[in-house]
Formats: sequence, structure tokens, C-alpha cells
Amino acid sequence: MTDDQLGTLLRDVDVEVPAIDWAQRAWDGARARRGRRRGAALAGVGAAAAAVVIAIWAPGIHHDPNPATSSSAVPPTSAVTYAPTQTTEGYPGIRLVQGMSLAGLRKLPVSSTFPRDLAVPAAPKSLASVISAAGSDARQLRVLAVSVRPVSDGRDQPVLLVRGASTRPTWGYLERTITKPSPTHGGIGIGERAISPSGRWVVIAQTRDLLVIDGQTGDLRVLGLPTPTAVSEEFYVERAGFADDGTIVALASDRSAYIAQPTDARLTVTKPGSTPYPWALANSWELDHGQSDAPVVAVYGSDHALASVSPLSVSFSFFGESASDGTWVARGGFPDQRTWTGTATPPLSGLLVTKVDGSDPRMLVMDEAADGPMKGGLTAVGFLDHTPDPTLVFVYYSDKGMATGTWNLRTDELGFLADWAAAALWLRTS
Amino acid sequence: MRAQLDPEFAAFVAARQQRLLHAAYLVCGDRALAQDLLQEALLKLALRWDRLRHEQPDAYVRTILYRDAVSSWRRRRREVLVDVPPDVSRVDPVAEAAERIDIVRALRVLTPKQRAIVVLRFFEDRSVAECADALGISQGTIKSQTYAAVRQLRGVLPDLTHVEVEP
Repeated sequence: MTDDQLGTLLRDVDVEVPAIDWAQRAWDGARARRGRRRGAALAGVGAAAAAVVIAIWAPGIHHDPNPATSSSAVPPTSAVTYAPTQTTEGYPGIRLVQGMSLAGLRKLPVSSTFPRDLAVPAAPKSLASVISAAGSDARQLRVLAVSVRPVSDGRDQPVLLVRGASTRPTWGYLERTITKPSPTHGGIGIGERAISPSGRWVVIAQTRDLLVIDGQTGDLRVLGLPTPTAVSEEFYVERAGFADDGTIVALASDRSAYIAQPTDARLTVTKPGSTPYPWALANSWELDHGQSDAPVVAVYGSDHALASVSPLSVSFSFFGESASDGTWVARGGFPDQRTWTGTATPPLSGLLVTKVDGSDPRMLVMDEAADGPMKGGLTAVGFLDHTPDPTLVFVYYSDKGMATGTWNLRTDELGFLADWAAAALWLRTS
Repeated sequence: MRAQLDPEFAAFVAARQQRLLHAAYLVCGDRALAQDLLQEALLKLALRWDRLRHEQPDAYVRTILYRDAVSSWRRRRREVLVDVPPDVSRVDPVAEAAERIDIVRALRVLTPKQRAIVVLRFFEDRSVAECADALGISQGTIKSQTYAAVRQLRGVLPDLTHVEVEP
């Protein structure tokens, strides 16, 4: 054999290039990296403040539901202090409603911290290489957050933030692509509680399938919905998430609820064709806090709320309780009580936060514009589990733009990171 | 750096991504890691595209890719103590793939730098001088390591007995 034949042998190795836009991705990554360098150069004066922020992550304050598998020697993330705006004036239309009665527009002080590592890098590693690099630590990997990145028209790649017992949080993308959710099919493939309480599994809704990702191996399994007798184009999974006991709960467009364990081969329908959605689950109740527009709340498996439906809106949401005090959040349309007369009134899009027993309710809603309710909304993506105060992360979007925000539920302080568009980032809720 | 993707950069990448990914895989032996290496090399090229577009972008991206492949494999080997990389363990022992598995597996007997040299010399058909430039080592080292690498490959690929290399 000659050196030409050795070359032929090397060239015959089958190497398939994934169908992604390498040039665009490299270009975007370079711009993002250049921007970070510039930002780092300008951030020198904020170093002292950042050091103070990091100091709050002393052992004992950081919440981890799996203390046996985590190391207090590894901080959960680095953090930055930011204050891109001084008040909510920069985000028109947000107001806080105390005690379910409108208190008028308040200009909320902006002061918060945001974990730097939660930002999806422009050029993440592959999840396979992250898992491989973890070596024997792979069995300890926990998914902290999940997002998607566009690969091509109509296709996305899931991106997972994982951390091992002795490794820092690292983003890794799944090589397998998923279908970009259709607006007519719920619009969101990943939602609240998409990450299992154990941190091992991620569930994504895909039309009539659930995709279950094992964060420790990178394996992806498909769980198909049992097809109803009367097949309809409108039959699809609207939302899927995990109950507190690790059971996958999926709500379908025909108002059925399905459950399965992550390793199960198929889903089981619990109550087909029920209405509204929460009644399809075994344990449902109405949140009673003296309001006629109380959301319906469903509970699955424990005392923690799992899903809600506002009677004034077809929208519903999964929601998770915060790690520290059992606070939970619902997303949906809520009535404006200043004009609420019992007739059809356009609901305000927003977030409802209360304790599971209905106490201490607060709403963050989109205000009206001059020509009516503002287009856009607020979406809860999860709770930060390593801040001293229960802190909700949400996404704000309107015709004015999009931003990721934090809501400190103890002080009601809001924070925004306007240059990070994390519309599809979901955190693990403990 | 302009906000919109430079069409010339897009064309450059489109023309070379297959070959670069192929080379990265041969050097590191892991498909996922190879994709990471390609992505990082292209990103670094994009950062310097305004300057390099009229110079030698080919040589630059090759240098980045190979040097990162060698260094990342060293790091990886320290971190992950496994007999064979994950890709190999996932490959089914299908007969029609036997030849492909043999060459990929055979490369593992070499050091990362030797693998890079073999890939540059025999896959990319680069001269000794070009290999030396890409890897930042002397031409003498390229020659001696090529000789040593092929000798080792003979042990696992008997058909290589007659490969002609300069000692």
C-alpha cells in the first residue's frame, strides 16, 4: 500500500456534516464573543459589587434538592450585577397588582442579580462531549435549565445546562434536532416544569409525541400519544411537564391528560375528553381567595400545584413552586378588576403569584396601551434556586421588544437583562 | 465586524466545512468533539475575517483546528480515562464498516500530534513545510514523527507495510 492508498483509506471514513448553518453560527458566535470582551472591559468598576453578589452563595444558603450529589465547593454559577434600567419605565406596560386589587402603575426599583452562566453561549459544546468530559461524574449530572437554538427553518436543537457534582454548569446542545413548535399547536414545545425534579430528565412536546431526554446520557426517547378513536388534525400535545414525584404529565388539545414515567414505553390516559384541563387530573381544586375569577388549580401527586386555568382565558400553564417557601406562579389572562363587570372583557396578560393556599396573591400584568390591551405577554420560566429570596425568572415580550426579567418575590424588585433574549429558556423548579 | 453574515465568509465555510470536519474527526476520533472543534475554529476565523479574508484564511483555520484538536485531545484524555472514545464503542461491528473502523481505531495507537501529522500529510496532502507551519513544530520533527507514526500503524494495519515515508 502506498501513501496514496493510506490517504484513500483516511478519506473513505464516513463523516457526515450536520445540516446546520456553520457560517452563520460562527459569525453570530464571533459577534457575541466580541461583545462580551467589550463588556468585560467596561465592567471593571462593577467588580466590587459583583464580588458582594457572589458572596451570598455561602454554603447553606444555596438550595439543592439533591444535597448528596452536589458539592458545596462548586458555586452554582458566577453572577453579574446589572441595572440596565432604573425603573420599569423602560418596559412599558408592566405593573404590579397587590392583593388582587389594582393599585395602579408603580415604578418598581430595579435591582437584582442574574447568573451569568444561564445565558446560552453563542457556540455551546455538544451535550455528548460535555457528558463524555464529565467521565465518571456523568451519573451525577443534573439539568439546571433547557433552551433551544434555531438550526434551520422549522428545526431547533435543544440546549441543556448541566452540572455535575464537581463540575461547573456547562451548556451542551443535543445533536438531534426537533421540530419548531407550530403556533397552531400550542406554540411552545418546552414549558414550565420541563425538567424533572431530580434534574435528570427533560420533556419536550412535539405535536403528538413527547421527547424525553436523559441529561446523564444524552439519549432521546420518543413517547407517542395513544391516538384517539377520532383522529383529528387538531389533536396534539399542548404542554408537558413533570409532577413533583417525577411523573410526566401531558395535556392534549382534546382536554385529555396523560401520564408516564420517564422510562415508560408509552403514555397512559387518565381521563379522556375532560374539560377543562385540570379536571382531567386526579386532584383538582379551585383557588379560593374571595374572587369570582379564581383560577382553577390542579394538583398532581403532592400538595404542590401543577397546572391552572383561568376561567376567562383559554390559556393555562404549568407552574412550579419556589424552592424556599412554596410560592407558585401561573401564567395566563386575568381580568382587569377596575373594569370587570362580568361581561366579556379582554383579559390582561400576566403572571399570578400566590402561596399554594391562596394567600399573598400578586399579579404582574401587561398594562393597556392607548388603543387597548398591549400586545405581548409575560411568561414564567422558573425560579432561581440559589438566591436568598424566592426569585422568579420571566420573559417579557411586546411590540417594544423582548427581555428576560427577574422578580424578587420578597421585595417585589424587578430586574431585566435586555440583551439576553431567553424566550425559550426554562429552569428546573425544585 | 459587520452584523450581517459576510457572504464571502459563508462561501468559504460552505466550501471547506466537510473537509475540515473530516480532518478534525480523524485527529480526535470523536464526532461530537470534532464538531466542537470545527465550530470553534470557524468562530475564531470569523473574529479575524476582516483581516484574513485577503490573506490566508485556509492556513489560519487549519492551524487553529489542528492545534486545538491536539490540545483538546490531551485535555480530554486527562479528564476521561476510558479505553476507547465513545464513538468507537457505539459503532456496530458491521462488516461493511470494518475498514472504516480499522483506520479510525488504528489512529488511536498514535499520539495526538502524530495523528495530526498523519492526517495533514496523507489526508490533506500537505507538504512537510506546511505541516510544520500548521502545528508549530520543526520540519525535522514532522519527518521523524511521520516515520514513527507509520511504523506504529503497521502493527495494526498490516497493509501499510509498503507505505513510503521519508525516515
